[in-house]
Order: sequence, then C-alpha cells, then structure tokens
Amino acid sequence: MFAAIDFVLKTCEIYVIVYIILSLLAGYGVKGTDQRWFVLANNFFARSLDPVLRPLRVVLPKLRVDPAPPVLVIIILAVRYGVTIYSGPAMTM
Amino acid sequence: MLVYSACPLFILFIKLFWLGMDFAPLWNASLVIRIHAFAAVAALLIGVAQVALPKGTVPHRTLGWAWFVLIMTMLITAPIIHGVSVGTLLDPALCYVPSNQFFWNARCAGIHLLTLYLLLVVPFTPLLARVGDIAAHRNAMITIWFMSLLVAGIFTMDSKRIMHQILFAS
Repeated sequence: MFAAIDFVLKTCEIYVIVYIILSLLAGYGVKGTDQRWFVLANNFFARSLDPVLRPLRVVLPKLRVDPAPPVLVIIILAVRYGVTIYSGPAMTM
Repeated sequence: MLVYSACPLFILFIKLFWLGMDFAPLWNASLVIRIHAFAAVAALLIGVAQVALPKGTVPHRTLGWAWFVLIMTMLITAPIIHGVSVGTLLDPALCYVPSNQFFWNARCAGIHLLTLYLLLVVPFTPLLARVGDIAAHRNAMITIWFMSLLVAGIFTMDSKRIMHQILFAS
C-alpha cells in the first residue's frame, strides 16, 4: 500500500522535474525550443500542472520566473518522506 | 556584504601567508573531493568579485556563468563524496529511523537536503536576470552564496574533515 503511494508520488515528482527542465530550456532560449513539438510538449505540461501550481502561485512571492514548480517538488518529496517514515523501519540512509 | 565576505577571506590569507597551510590531505584525497574543493573555493572568490564589480557588464555575465558552472559542479559532486548519487537525493533515502523507535525520531542528512534545495533553485537564478527581475536575481544570488559557500563552508571546518586539516595543520 505505502509502496504504491510512494510510486505514484515518485511519478508525479519526475513529471514536475521534466516540466521544470522544459521550462528552463524555453526560458534560456536554447536552440530548438521554438519548434512546434517542443512548444506543444511544454504547453501540455504547463496546462496539466496548472491546477496544482495555481494555489502555490497565490502564496509564493510574485516573480517574473515562476517559483512554484521547484516548491511543488519539495512538497511532494516532503510527503514521500512522511509516507516512508510513517510506513515503518525499512528506511535506511 | 563585501565587508562580511572579506573577513573570512582575510583570515584565510593570514593563514596562507603567515602560518602556512598543509595541502597534503587534499592532494591525497579522491578526485571528486579535489574537484569539489576547487569548485567551492573558486566560487567563493568569484562571488566576492561579482559583488564588488559593476553589474550588467560583460565581465559580470562571464564571471556569473563561470560561477554557475562551478556551483553546479560543487553541488553535483557534494553527494557523490558521501556515496550518495544525485538521483538518490530525489528519493526519501536521506533520513532513517533508528530501530525500535518511532517515526518522529527520524534523523536526516541535512547537508544533502540543502544540496537538493540548491540544485532545484540555482538554475533559475540566471533566468531571473535574463527576464529583468534584477532585485530577485541579486537576492537569490546573495542567499545562495551565503548558504552554499559560507554556511556549508563553516561546517567543513569540523575537526574530522579535510579542510580543517588544511587550515589548522600547524
């Protein structure tokens, strides 16, 4: 049960990290980021994460670079820590 | 800011020229530790230069990108020194619960959590300058400089660590 929850959270974490990498590449104007497939992929990630990121944007300071995605990764990781620590003593460093 | 950052450097130079330092522990250490130490010291010095030099100029941008590369090198090599891969930082493996104890007794490797936080934040800081949010760029850079180099640097002065052996060899 706890392993399944952790797997889902890990998938969400990787999903947000992929979005962070795509938005960073677009932000820095890396060559190729203006191509249609890249814009479509970036928009897909942005729209799918928008319902989760919007409440964070309300709380976080207004910057010209969106600080919400890295904060979301930290929140997901904190939840994973909570789940793993609560689930039992199998945790090792 | 410059005065605060210059004080530890002044002490460092006093140690270097008056009392001498023993670099043997560093040369005898593994390659990853040497790369980490070089990147950290270079980033510390470039950080001071960046604060002192005029902003927005070509030298500022060039040194800034050099600083970015050095700080990322330092952050990527930091967990590897302790046998922790960068991917492990994204897993809940940096804490453990001692046997026969409850979860609120969990102990965490705080320095690796700081590394993870900085790895997530540092790539955004040059972007802030690029989009024209200069105040946020300045604040972020100064905070990262303090957290990653000064605060973490103070912890390297622990008596069991290589930096302590170098600085306080005599």
